[in-house]
Amino acid sequence: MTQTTPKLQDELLNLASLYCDERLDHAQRERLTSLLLQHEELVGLFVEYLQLHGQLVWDRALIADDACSAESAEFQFFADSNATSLPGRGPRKRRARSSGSAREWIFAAAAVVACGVLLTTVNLVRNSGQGNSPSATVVSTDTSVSGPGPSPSDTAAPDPVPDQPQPDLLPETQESPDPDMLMADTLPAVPDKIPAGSESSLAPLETPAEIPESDAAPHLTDREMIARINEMLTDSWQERGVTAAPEAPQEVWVRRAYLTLAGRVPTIDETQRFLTSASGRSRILLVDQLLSDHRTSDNLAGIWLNLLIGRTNPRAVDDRALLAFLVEQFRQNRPWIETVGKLVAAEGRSDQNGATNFLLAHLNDQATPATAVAARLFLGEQVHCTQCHNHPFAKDRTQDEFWSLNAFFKQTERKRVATPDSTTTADKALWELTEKVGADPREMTFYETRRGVPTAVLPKFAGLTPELDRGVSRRAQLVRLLTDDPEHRVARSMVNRMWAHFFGVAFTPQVDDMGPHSDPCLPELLDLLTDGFVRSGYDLRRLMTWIALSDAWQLSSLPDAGNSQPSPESEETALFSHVCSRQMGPEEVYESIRVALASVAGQPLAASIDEHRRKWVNEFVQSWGTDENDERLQFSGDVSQALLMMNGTDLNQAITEAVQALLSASDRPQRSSASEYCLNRIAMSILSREPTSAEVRVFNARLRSLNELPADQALATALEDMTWAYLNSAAFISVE
Amino acid sequence: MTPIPDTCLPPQSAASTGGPGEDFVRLFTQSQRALYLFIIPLVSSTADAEEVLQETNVVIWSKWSQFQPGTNFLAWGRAIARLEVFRHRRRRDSRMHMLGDAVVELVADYVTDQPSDFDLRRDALARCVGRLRDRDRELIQRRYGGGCTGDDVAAQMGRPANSVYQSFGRIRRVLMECVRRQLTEAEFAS
Repeated sequence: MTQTTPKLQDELLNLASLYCDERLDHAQRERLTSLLLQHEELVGLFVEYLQLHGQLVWDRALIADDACSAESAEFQFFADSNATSLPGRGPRKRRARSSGSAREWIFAAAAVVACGVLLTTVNLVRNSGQGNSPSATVVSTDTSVSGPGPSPSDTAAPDPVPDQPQPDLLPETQESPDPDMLMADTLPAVPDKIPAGSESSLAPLETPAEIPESDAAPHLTDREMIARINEMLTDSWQERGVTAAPEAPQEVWVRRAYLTLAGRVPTIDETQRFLTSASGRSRILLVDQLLSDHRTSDNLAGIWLNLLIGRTNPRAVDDRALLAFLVEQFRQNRPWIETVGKLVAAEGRSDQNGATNFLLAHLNDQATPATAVAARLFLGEQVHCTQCHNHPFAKDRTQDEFWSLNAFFKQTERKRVATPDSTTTADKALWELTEKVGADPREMTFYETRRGVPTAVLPKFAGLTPELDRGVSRRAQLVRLLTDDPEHRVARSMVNRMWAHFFGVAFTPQVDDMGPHSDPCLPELLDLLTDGFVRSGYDLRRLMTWIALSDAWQLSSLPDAGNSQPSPESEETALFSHVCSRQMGPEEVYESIRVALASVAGQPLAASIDEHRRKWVNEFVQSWGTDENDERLQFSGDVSQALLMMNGTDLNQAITEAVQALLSASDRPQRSSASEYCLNRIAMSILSREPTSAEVRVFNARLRSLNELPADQALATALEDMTWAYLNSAAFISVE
Repeated sequence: MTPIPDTCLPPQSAASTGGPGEDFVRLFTQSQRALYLFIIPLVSSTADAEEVLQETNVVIWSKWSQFQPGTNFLAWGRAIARLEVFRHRRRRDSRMHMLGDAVVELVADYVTDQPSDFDLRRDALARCVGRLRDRDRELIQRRYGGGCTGDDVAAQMGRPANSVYQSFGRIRRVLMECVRRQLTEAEFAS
């Protein structure tokens, strides 16, 4: 066995690189072959390199920032193929074999779809990270976007370790890097401070301690606000030479509206009612109706429950109580700042004051997760990294700031409550959240800087130190400061988040990272909405109305030639000249399947069973012990999804029953054939549109292939198969 | 439902027709990535790797009953994948980019016995990508995140293709070093 020199290794790696990019010429191929055959040690190196390449391909989800792909090739795939038609890939002979038995047909389709879908999970996973999916921040998101810094998993201990290695950017060449110099070189230009809204005519609130009344005269009416939004967007499109997408067709829009607002697809009746309504104001009326329907507010409550404490609930707080609290707040359309205030300053028993469960879930590790999660959700700032070091390029995001914010939570305590009564369930302990009795209001919080210098801080937010006296708890002080914040961070972050919920993309690349280092696109629009939101008294329904009725939200989600949506990987930002499609989150899938099958069966929609849904959703979640109590949501449109869905006996059963109900329905019009009517109904229920001619052909072929069965059994089987295929298709799971 | 012939076995739950159970499904989905990484050093392009994986999957499903529960699923899957790689090569023997049989056998032996620490590597890789310089990371994102080829990326960025490919090579090496360092550190820490 000969020794390999670094020179040989270099050569091998160069050849391996060419091999990855398919640019080896004949001579190089020979050379690579002989290198590998002569030097067995190089085989390991070769494999390592190629597997790195393979990982980059496979794990696109880890590195891509995009919330939607601008690559028309990928859209083509989803637009053209649902599992009912075998996509172009795959060896020809597979098709001939598939005219066999029931499931193999579908499975071959799914296996073929699976491979293609596997490698395009990027968009879907990203989509689920934006929009209405919750705090499940995959670890890598933080590392890839919020600049060079230690990833959360590096900072497992809440107390900063002084001799942590300096995070360095990887050097360009192999020479030993000078980290400081590299950092200076590659600092993106720090943008000017985000306009504090001084250009707008927003006057500071007169009485700081009061929550703005919700019937205070708003600055603009809804109509004016929407007109202003439209104007700003149109202006910016013109400026950048961007053509807006065409309007989304009605059947696409209605599905989008129901999914965005009510968290489920429309029933077939709802769809038909909308499509047949002759009124030109049908969209306006629908938005209004959905917003006043408590199913919308309940959907919002569910979304925030996941954001606040995640889905796995590792600390076993009383999620039901928290959900009940949120449902109340949203059903009554309470001002958002009030909800935030109640969550932040909550006190009392976990079963009596549901809001306490938010902090109860995050008070571990000296309340550092509470600080980080509260900052992220309510202020739109990712501060967990500043626990240990100053932000590399945002000048005023310092360690000091983190710990000053944390100081507000430091006097909060939780105590277990002994309960003799039988109302508590065995698995949920009862807790009480209180401020420490007799605590010194000037108690300081200590931390260590990176150089190991111990530092002490008092509670401080936005540069303001509250009055520290015994009367008012620290958290209540924080709420006051949040309300009076001249930058209206609470409002701004909610606007950003809500916008992302509708459009699939926020004003900033990450919906909850709005610090000065992250440049919002269209800052004037963000300001306008923030301003309006504050003046409306933090009225969520009005905010949703403005967004839902803006011209831009009526547009299609498919970019066309003239629509130069910049690719999301680049530094450019989205202009909202089309809506970004996203993937449904697991709750939406669950609800939508329920609704769709009820529609197929012609049954009224029953109430959802929380337990059952939770159990189903939790199949996809894994708790992840980071310093932000993160979770990993493994819910992407890949083969595991399809297979888990396909193997669920529940689902199997439900489909069979639904199809039977459909076939025995008595109100079928005599004119059309049974198969045509049923297929139509299935497509309308699941995709809110009629079957395409390709789908009809596949269905008829399937029906014919079952000719050895009695006619009604064949029809039932074929319809069940189509239902399966539709439910497993990318079109179902995508919110256009 | 149509009676199902023995040779074609659908993925139904064990309860109904005695098809592969939940465990099998779980093992299967968990092994996908590792199988892909097994295949990729053995074929010349990622597109081929996808195809071979797909074919492997079909075989795995059709032979589900031959898998002994409790044994090493990945090893079994790799054996099947190896056969599919060679079948694939025979079908495409006129492809310019392929390496000779002897080399592929050698590499196949190596990856067959490879331990599967892929989760660690994946996390390490994610961290390393996060630490790249912005413009390097942008290149990676365009190439791998956007499904573009190197030529596409070159065209998009207005750079000569050669220079872009060289950048990829350089960046991949840097990432490889970084991942190695991370794994070594992790070993020491544990």
